[in-house]
Order: sequence, then C-alpha cells, then structure tokens
Amino acid sequence: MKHIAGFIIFCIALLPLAGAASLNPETSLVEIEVTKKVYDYQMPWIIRNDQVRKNGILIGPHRILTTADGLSGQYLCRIKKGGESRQYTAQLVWIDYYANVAVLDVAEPAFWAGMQPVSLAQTIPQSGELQIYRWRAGRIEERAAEIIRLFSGTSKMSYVRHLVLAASSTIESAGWSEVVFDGDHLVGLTASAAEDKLRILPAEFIAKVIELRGREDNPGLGYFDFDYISGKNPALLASKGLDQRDVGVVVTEVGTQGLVDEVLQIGDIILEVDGFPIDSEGKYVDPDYGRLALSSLATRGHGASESIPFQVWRAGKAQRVDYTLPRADFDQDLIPEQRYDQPPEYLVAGGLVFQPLNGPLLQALGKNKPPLIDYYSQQKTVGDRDGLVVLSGVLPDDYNIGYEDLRYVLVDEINGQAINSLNDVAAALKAPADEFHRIRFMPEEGVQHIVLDAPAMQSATARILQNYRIPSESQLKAF
Amino acid sequence: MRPSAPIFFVLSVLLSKFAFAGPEQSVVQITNYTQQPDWVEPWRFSPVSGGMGSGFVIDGQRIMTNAHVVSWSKQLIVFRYQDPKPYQATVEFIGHDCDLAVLRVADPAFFEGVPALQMGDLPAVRSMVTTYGYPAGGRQISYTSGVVSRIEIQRYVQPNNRQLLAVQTDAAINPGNSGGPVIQNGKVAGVSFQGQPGLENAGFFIPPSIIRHFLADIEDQTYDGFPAAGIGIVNLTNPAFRRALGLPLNNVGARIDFLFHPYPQTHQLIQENDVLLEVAGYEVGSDGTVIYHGNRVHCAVLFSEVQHGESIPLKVWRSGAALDIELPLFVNREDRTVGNQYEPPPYIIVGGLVFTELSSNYLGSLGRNWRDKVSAETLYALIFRNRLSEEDARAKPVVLSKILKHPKNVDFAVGSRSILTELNGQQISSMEDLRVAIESASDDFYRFRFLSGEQEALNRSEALAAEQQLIQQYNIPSVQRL
Repeated sequence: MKHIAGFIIFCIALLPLAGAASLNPETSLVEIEVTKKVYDYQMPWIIRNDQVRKNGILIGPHRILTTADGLSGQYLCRIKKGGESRQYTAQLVWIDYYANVAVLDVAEPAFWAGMQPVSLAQTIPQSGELQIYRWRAGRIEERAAEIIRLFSGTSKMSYVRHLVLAASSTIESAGWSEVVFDGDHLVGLTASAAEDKLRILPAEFIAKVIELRGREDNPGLGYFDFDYISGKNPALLASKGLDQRDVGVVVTEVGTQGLVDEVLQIGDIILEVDGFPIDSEGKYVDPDYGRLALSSLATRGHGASESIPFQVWRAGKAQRVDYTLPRADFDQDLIPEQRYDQPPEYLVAGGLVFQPLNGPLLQALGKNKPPLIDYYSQQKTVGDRDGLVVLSGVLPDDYNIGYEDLRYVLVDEINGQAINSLNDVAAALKAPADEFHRIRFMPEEGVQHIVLDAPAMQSATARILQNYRIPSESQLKAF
Repeated sequence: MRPSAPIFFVLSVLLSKFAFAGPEQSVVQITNYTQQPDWVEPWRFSPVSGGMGSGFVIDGQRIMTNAHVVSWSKQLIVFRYQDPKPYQATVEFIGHDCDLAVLRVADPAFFEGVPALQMGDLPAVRSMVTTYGYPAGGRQISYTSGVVSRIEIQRYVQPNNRQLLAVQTDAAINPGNSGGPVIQNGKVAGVSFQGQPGLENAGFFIPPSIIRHFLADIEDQTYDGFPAAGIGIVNLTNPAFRRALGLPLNNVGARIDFLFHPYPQTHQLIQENDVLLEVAGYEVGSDGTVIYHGNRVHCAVLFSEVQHGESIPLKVWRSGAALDIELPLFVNREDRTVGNQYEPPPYIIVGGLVFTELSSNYLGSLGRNWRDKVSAETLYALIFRNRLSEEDARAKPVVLSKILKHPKNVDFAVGSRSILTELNGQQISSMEDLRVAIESASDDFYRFRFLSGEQEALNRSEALAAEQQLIQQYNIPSVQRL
C-alpha cells in the first residue's frame, strides 16, 4: 500500500508544465502519419510498405504522447497540427512496446508555436461520461464515451498486464490512440476497439511508464511470471492443510514467459501480495479502484527488479517470500511472442529455408499451423534449448530433389549439433563431418532425416537465390 | 428325337433359372437400426436411427457386407432379391480396419435358392465392372457400370487411421451401395465401400485380396486384423542421400525413416535409414512403390497380405550391404483411440467428475471447431504418442469430459477437456490406472493433477456421496464402465 501512495505523489510531480489551462483540443491534439516497413514471415525476404494514421497529444515541451501500436518498422513519422495540411517530420524519442506507449518529438520550432500541452488525470474515473477527440479531415471530431469498468487487462502489444479502462462509444474505426478526456484532463489513449467497446490505456498507467522511463536505470515494466488457479474449492485448500475458505489462489505454473522460475513453487497458495490479502478469485481490494486482479499489482506501483513481499501457504504453514519482479522481455521466452522493429530472421541453404520459431511466424500461419508446431510453440522449455528452428519450406531445385514437400518441420540437429538458433544452423553447416550435411528433425515429425551434398551446397544456394530472386541468403540476429 | 414331356419341363425350368439367375439373386438389402454412444457423457446413447446398405451371399450361408453398414447395430434386417420378407441377421465377424463384416441369418430358408457369389481376381485398370446394390432413393436393386480407373493404397474411412489397397471406378457408388458386390465376369471383383468428396465420378471398392485376407483371418473364429511393420517409409530420390548410404543412383530402394511404437520386434530387427530393396520378393522403387499386378502401388500393399503374427521377407540395405530379414508383423491395437472406435467408451465418475479416454471420437464429438476447444497439449497427447516410446504408445490418456455439478464439486476450478495425469500421486496413463488409484485412495482427499499443471481436490467421503446422488439424479446406470 505504501508503494501506491508514493506512486501517486510522484505522478503529481510529473504534471505537465502548462498547468491547468482549459482544454482546447485543436492546440493539443495532433494527427500522426507513420510510414513503415512490414515483413512477410512466410517469405521473410519480402519487405512491404505500409502507412498508418493515428493520434497523439502534447504532454509537455517536445513530448508528443501516443501508443506504440503501429510504430514497429517505422522510418518516417509526419505530424499535422491544428487541422492544417502542413506536415512536420517527427522523431521517435522512446518507445515501450510492452507498455504500448511512445513519445515523439518535432525538431522544428514552428510546430510548437501556439501548441498547448495537456495534463494527465491523476486518478481514473470509474463511472460517467468521457470525451473522445481526434482529427478527421482537418476538423476535430468529438464523441462521447460511457465508462464500463476499470480492470486488469493484457496489453495489446505484449503479455504485460495493467489497468485498462473499458468504455462504450459509437465512434467508428477507433483504437488508434484517440485521446480520451474527463473535462480538461487526459484520462487515456484508446488502445483497441471492438464493435462499440473501447479499451483505453489509462493516464495513471501511462504516467507510471513515463516515470520508469525517466529513472536512471530505466527498469521497465515488471510481470508476475506465474499462473494460478482459483482457491474457491474448499477441498483444494483443505487438502493442503489450510482450514480457511475463499482465500488465496494456487500456483499452477512458474516461469510462464521464461522470466523467473524460482521463489514461487507450483502448489503454493498465494495469500497476500504486497500487503494486500488475495481472495480465492485472485483479486485484491485496491485503495483507489476497488477489486482488481492481483496481476495489476505488478505494474500498478512497481517497476521491474523491485522486490514484492508475498505470503504463501506452503508445506502446511504460511510463510513470506520476496518476489523480485522480473522485467518483461520477449527474448527470455523459448518462443518469443513478439519481435518489434526487427526484420524476420531466415537462412537459405541449398534451397532449404530455415526460420526461428516465434510469435510473428505463428501469427502468419494462423489457424493452419501444424499441430506439432502448435504444441511446441506452447512449451515453456524443450530440454535445455533456448530457441527452436523450423525448416519452413524448400525452394525446389535439382540439389534438394526429394525434399520439396517439407514445410514447417522442427529441426533437431544438423551435422550432429543441436540447433537452437539460425546461428547454430549456419555454424553447423560449416562443419560437416564428411561430404554430406545430415539434418535431423524432431522425433515426432513425419520425416526424421535428410542428407544433402555438402560441397555442392554453396553453389546450389547461389543458383537458387538467383532463380527465386532472393536478395540475400540470410538475415541473422546480430550478436 | 423329341424329348419326353417331363424331361422338357425340367430342362426348361433349368434353362429359365440359368437365363435369369444373375448375381442380383445373391445381393441383399440390409437395414440397420443403430444407437451410437455420446463420447462426452458416455452412459448416454443417441436416439435410434436407421440406415440402409447392401450385401451379398458368400460360401457357408453367410452374407458379406461393409463393417460400416452394420456398425452400432441394435437390430439388423436383411431382404432377399425381390422378396418382401424381412429376415433377422446378426454380425458374426466384423473388421473395422478393412471395413468388412460377415453376417449370419438364423432362418435357413433365407439361403434357399440363393447361390453364393464366388471371389474373382483383382480387375485390371480400364476393364469394365458392374456394381450391384440398393442405393438410396428406391427399393429395387440398382446396377451401375464403369471402368476401373486406378488401383492404389487409400485411407479407409471406417477406421480412419488405416490405409489399404482400394480400387477406384467411375461406376456410380452411392450411399446404400455400400457392402454390395462389384462384379466382373460373374465373380466378385470387390465390395463397394466409399467415395471421396471433391472427386467426381469416383467410387471405391475393396479388392479381392483384402476380402480374402479377412475371410482367411476369421477361419479360426477370431478376427485379428491387418498387421503392420511399424516403419515409416519415405522416398530415396535425393542423389546425395543415396551416395551417403552407398547406394547406386538408380531408382531402387526406399528409406526407412522411422520406427513406430509399439513394435518391439521391428525395433530389434530394423534400423532407421535401412533401405528397403525388396518386400516379399518385389523390388521396391525409390518412391516406395512396387509393381503389383501391373500397377505401381506403395509397398505397404504387401505388408497387408500377411496375417497377424506371420513374417514377411525383406531385403534391406544396411552399412553398404544387402541383408535378408524375416520381419514378423503384428496388429497394432494400441492406436485404437486415434482412429474411429466402435465400442462404447469407458468412463468413471468421481464425485461428479466424468473421466473417459481421450480419443478421436471424443474430439470429434466436440463439434466442427473442436481444435479451438482443446489445447495443443491435448492433441499432442493423442496423436504423437507412437513416436515417443513403447510406454507412451501404449498409454491411453484420460480426459475430464464433463463435470456433473453438485454442491460438493461446484467450485472445482479445472474445466472439462483437461487431461488427468495424477491422482493422489499415482500417475494416470489409462482408465485402469484411474480405477486402481481411486480404489487405493486412503486419505481424506482425491488430489488431482492435470496436464496443464493445474491441481484440484475433492473430499473423498463427500465425493462418494455426491456421485451416488448424481447417478440417481441423471439416471446413470453405473458410476463406471470399463
């Protein structure tokens, strides 16, 4: 509780320089045009061009706040103000994809003339009407929204969980950082929309992200890396020797995102987090917002690397454990959920296309992903591997005849070396034991072994790249 | 010289009989009244429904038809050609893997004047065949003719996880034709059995080799089924792979890529990357096919000609030399839950939690979008077990199919469709494991652990009382069926 009180005081200190001027959206709200690269994970050498239009709001000198959504792959951001046709080139000051928050700046002084920053609301209203603003065809569009509820939800851009404000509105095609106000105060930015329901990134969460960003060590957002099940069933608690009802949740998995797998144990009953009692549905009573899921405590008053006291029931007695909040990090996961601002990795060798298994590739496969890929993509660990590689396809050529139909096959070993990454593939292909490359796939795959001519691979690769007009044989992660 | 009157009469009767006694005399119509089990609530059965099919009389006063025509039968009625009298029949032997069955009719009058059809040979591609049967849309026998289009290994829909030889024809084979004979030169060239969605003018019939295998199998009054070698055969066309194995760059030899479980004899005699040069004396091509009665057919056709427990001679290439192996083949009964099953599923009710075997039938009963309803782990537990180990291949994962709500389980937080892995610390790999774990429970709780990592518990005495109340409340005949 202490942490949250301190957090509110800090937010007040962050209030924008402009003070409490009444809101004039025309002088605060901007329209952002993002030009970016989009990658095709099924043909990873293909780069397409795309444009996104979204909204931003001034929150201080040289600080334009927007969501991170739509900015991955950006190389040109242009901003319009006041409904004018002139566009100003903007620079990305920082971006936090886990939080879905970004700040832009415009270097040209003319842009800032007559502009007025807005203040972030200190607390989030839980009922009543809000106002949504955005630019449309050079004019401000104002729409009403009605608050539905405040809850702990998952970020649109990551697995991080934080406060989310749900509201209903008839505004069309929203979810692109439209600004949401309660009177003169910015309540939040829209993060997504479905039918007439909006999910709004609340100002209080945004302020926390900005505060963490401003710290010297920039700890980033933390994440409770465990899953739990309700402790509502009295027999479950009693079976663990806890003679209470409707308290606590039972840990079912730790290290879900590969961040931390110590401290908590499967089967622990979590009774308290950060001094707040946890009920059997995993909720605590927030002093400001009432009943919320315990997951929001990871981002509500804390940043990553902070220690949070837990009280758990373990081995028949209550005990305190200190949970060091891990920083959200896609790269810690066996199968990274997202890859922002990075081109897809691939390696073409003798017409065989290798790719690391990751979230964007799985999304590209959609519902058609093979059951085995689906299974492995949900594994927390596979032996001591730190990644998985698939043979995603074969570019037919005389060299690889007989293997043309292989698609999305998980690679186990190449030339006797375990394969965790494309760099492993590249290294293994440089070290054949004899004149053959021997590739072994996972034991559940329909085909286990293939063999290729090692000396002929390089020339075959060159021929195949030319034939299929592929600009480069590889795109690997730099170390 | 004129024949005397009585002789003329007998002769004319005989001539008349021969003139009109075609194969249709031996073709019967079958009506099957069925009830199928519910795979989620396994004590329940569907409302009675009726289905029609065809069959034909074979030696020994028996009727041959398709297994799928007589599956799930509660009452079987057969009709002779142009005879309105219904006769009751029973299934004597049924082979779901080959989609064939043999019926008996209790009334010997049924077979009076009905000749048995004789088995012929595999018809040649492009030769004409005629189907006989009772397709939907009428009560009279129907004939269709066409050519044999091709002969290949096909997936048999009835088991859904078996591939055997099948003959494709452009003669119309429609629902109701199933089980009827396909005739060439007055003999049975096959049994009509399935179509293929998306293909026009394509029906399939079961060839004589499969029928003979089935009939030979049941001679000892037990049906074993079609054995398999438990080997994954893939093509060996890549020149580098052939050189790596020391083989000439010709088109002979297909590679054994993987050994399935549970085939312990195969694991003793065969090795990964052995190359099949010959099967039963037939030379195997680099794509795994052999010349079989003039057709290029996958060499699996030869394995299906062997009976359960018999051996097949193989010539394999290993470590740079040819090697002769006599490989015994066995029927794999451990993969039944992966294919279509035709026995009511087992179940155990524990305090209102309904557990049953995870199976294809169970998943299929979840509806068209079943893949959205089960986890990837669940699907993996069903379909990839035969790649892992013999123990895994013999396991029959247990699924929580339903929770019959009761005040003592209403807060049980694990949802249905979860795979049970432990009860009171005992590993659960089959319904029998679950039965034993329940019967050996001695403390106050049933402690469940599921594949997802979720844990739950029920008070044991409360669970016992609850399940007794629930089976009365829902008219469930018993708390378990194994």
